[in-house]
Amino acid sequence: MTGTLGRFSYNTDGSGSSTEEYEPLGQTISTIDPAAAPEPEPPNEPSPIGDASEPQWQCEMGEAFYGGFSAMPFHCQKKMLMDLSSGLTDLYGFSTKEESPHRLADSPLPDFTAPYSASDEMMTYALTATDKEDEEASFQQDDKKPRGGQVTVRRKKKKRGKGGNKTPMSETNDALKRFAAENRLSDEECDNKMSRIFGGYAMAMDELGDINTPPTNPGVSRSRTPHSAQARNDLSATTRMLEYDEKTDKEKLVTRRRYQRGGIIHTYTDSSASVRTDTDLFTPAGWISSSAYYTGGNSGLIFNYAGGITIEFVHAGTTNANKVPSEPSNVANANGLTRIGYVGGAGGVGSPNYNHTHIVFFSNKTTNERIDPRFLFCGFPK
Amino acid sequence: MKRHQLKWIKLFLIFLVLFNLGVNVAGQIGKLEPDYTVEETDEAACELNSSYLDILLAKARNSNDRIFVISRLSKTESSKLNRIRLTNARLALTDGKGLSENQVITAIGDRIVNGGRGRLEFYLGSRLFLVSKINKNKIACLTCCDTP
Repeated sequence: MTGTLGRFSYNTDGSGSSTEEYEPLGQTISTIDPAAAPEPEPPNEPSPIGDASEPQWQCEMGEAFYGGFSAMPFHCQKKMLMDLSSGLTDLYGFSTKEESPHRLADSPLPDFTAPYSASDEMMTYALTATDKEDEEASFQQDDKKPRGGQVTVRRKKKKRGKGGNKTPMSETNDALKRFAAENRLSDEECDNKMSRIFGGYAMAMDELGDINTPPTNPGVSRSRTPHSAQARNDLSATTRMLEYDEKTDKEKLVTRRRYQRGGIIHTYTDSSASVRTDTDLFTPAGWISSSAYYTGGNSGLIFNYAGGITIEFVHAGTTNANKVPSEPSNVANANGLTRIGYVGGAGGVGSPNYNHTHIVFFSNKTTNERIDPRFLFCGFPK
Repeated sequence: MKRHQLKWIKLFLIFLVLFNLGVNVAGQIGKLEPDYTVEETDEAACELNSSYLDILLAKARNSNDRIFVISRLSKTESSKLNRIRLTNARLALTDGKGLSENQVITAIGDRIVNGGRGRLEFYLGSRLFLVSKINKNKIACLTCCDTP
């Protein structure tokens, strides 16, 4: 056509090709046969909502009609996701609404009062959801094993209903549940089991007494209650004592949180509680929050679990110079446990041999309510 | 029998009676060495004191014997500390461990004269069960553990 403008490019070998051609008024002429041209790519812009190709009535049919959110037409899914006013709770189980900092997924702030935060749920879920089989490490089959034995994780297949192989959050909420016993264990079996969970040579210090209780003591109860596994919430939550200030030569009566209120077990370095630092100390993984301290000559670690359960390790062994134990990573080993240090930390190294860590179980740490660990792990009645 | 022979026999009998009495008294007083000693310098002193007091309490409940606590100061300590240490010992046994008030007797003893540290002595009846030695001008740590 007269007036058509063409641009051509040539190579040094004489070959060339037309690159662009224009009509006199500026319209571009296609240089290839339109019949053989590929389908044009859809514009890379969001489709306007309300487009005739995306009828709204399809979205109004509801999820149930399609058999779930993921089966809905894409434009309907997009529309629902863009509607931030509707809670994502319905879709994915969490919300975009602003919550307390304690409950935000990446919040470093521990919240001892919150039953279970979003981050904890995600962590627990991450620890379990990648396994194709049920991660419920069952100690139940091993309950009667003596202490010091190798722990065998027994996985049991679980019937799964419609919905695939995802583990529901509710099943992974309680990291301690996997260690529960189906039947009530004897005192000795229970001590053995707690040894295998927490490491060392554990004793509930109830009917079997403590490691330093004289072996022949006829007619004398060997229980160390209220410094034993038996919860003693019947005793007041506080105790009194006189404090003395040497510099001012003054005394004052103070009220303190009662320590001796039961829910306490000891785990020793070995059956002789000998001086050593190679006895590993463990706790069940999957806790919500943790903290560490060195106070009053004691190194300690605190772990808060779902359902308000707190496990506190007093005299937790650490190699840190400041005696404050390092907070361990919340990742389970094959047995569902995490190593947190060694048995016999500051405050628990005695002479003659009394090297131990003592472990306190709270049902509510804030109010100093104790729980008998034999209820949690050995099938004992509450 | 001659008179002087009778006199010797009488003296011998009196000696036997006194000897037996002495043995009985010594038996009632009990041994002077304690069953347990806790040094306050021991890192686990609080825990050890608490542990031994638990055993003492179990025995006291079983035998219905009273527990006597004697405070003895070192040579240079203020006498005020006697009352403070004894009050704390009483509170640890009653308020802390649930022993009845009338099963605990507290008393002040002589000072330690040979340069030793002050201490609390716990007796079950007349038997010296536990000696808890205390650092100068400090109070005994009888319970475990002071945690946050």
